[in-house]
Amino acid sequence: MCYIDSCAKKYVTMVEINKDFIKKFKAEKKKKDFEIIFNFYAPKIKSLLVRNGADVTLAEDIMHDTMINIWDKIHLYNPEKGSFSSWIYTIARNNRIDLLRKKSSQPYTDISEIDIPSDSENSQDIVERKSLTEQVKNAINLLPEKQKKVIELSFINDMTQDEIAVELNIPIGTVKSRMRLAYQKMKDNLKDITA
Amino acid sequence: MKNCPDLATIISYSSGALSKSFALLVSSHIEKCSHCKKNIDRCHEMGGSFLEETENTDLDTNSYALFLDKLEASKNKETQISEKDIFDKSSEIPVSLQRYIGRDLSSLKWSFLAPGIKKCSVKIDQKENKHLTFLKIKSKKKIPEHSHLGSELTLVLKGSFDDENGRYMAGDIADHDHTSKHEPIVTSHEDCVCVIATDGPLIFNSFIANIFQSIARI
Repeated sequence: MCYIDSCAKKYVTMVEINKDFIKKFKAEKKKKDFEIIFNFYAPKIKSLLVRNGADVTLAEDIMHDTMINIWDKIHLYNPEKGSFSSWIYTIARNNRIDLLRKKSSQPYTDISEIDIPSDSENSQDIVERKSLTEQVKNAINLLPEKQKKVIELSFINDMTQDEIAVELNIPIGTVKSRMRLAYQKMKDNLKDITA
Repeated sequence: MKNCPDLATIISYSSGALSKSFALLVSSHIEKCSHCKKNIDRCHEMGGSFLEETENTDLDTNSYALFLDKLEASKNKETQISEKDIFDKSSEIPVSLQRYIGRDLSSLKWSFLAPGIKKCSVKIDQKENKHLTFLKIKSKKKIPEHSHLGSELTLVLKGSFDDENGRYMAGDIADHDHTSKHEPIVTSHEDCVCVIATDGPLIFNSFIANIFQSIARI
């Protein structure tokens, strides 16, 4: 494993942030290890914030707060429950809601911190988890363009169903049905990919 | 769990696009619904996937050094855990709601709304003056048929009610939008306690009920 000189620009890949790396970081909590996580996720988190209307200074601040939360809560991350990226996504989402949209004085209740069992997993589920994010990525790419668009507007552009309806000039009922179809299709695509 | 939020509502919850009142009801439901939890987990994976795919933007010079300074500063801050942050998972109140109403339904201060119906409004956002509406409805009591200008989520906390779509028990969610009309009736022997989030007023189909609604402001 090569560590990054803070003066040097290097793009970190997900290959470096694998299960063993995260396990090691959780156990040892070394700043030089966290720098690898920081260099992969921080530019992306900031990018999403700027895209959704934050100026660059505020985006940098929110991104720093998000990274502090990741550092503080790393002991709560359980790889059995989902990918590292999906866990980071939920933390970034909560910070975005709380600090950028200012729509609430409290972020979402962090359900990842409440121990909620999912339906019991079968062998299919276990296969699904092997490189889940990669498979989800492929499954999303297989979605019909119209369905993919509503999902992107929701997850990337931070839009409500009403805002998506206005943006695409379609009734809100159509937004909902495209979301449902996209989810169902994604779930089916995941089965196809893992089969 | 028999009645769950619409999949579109689950997706909007995962992406952070629901208003706080709606998000609170969805997270309350998920606490007891492993089926929806699994759907939410899949949606979070979509979010994680989009995050990984996002193009990088330049960080400030020395961003990591600045982060480390902030991290050190944050360690020196004492985190105070207030009474409100201590949750009871065995309570009939979902953990997500305990911050706002405590761990016991008896702590709610009910006021008369209509014969057989009591109401309690709980502020959930100091900045934006947002509320959740709790209703306590007597057994066999019927809410007049109504539709909605926006969406409405109803989470049952105690007892049960029926409408055109079936029976809703504790933990179930009724997810209605402007296209749906319903006429809920309490079917449990005990009072039905539910909590409602709306983003538009209810529209009652009777003139009297509409006048009543303009006073009650649900």
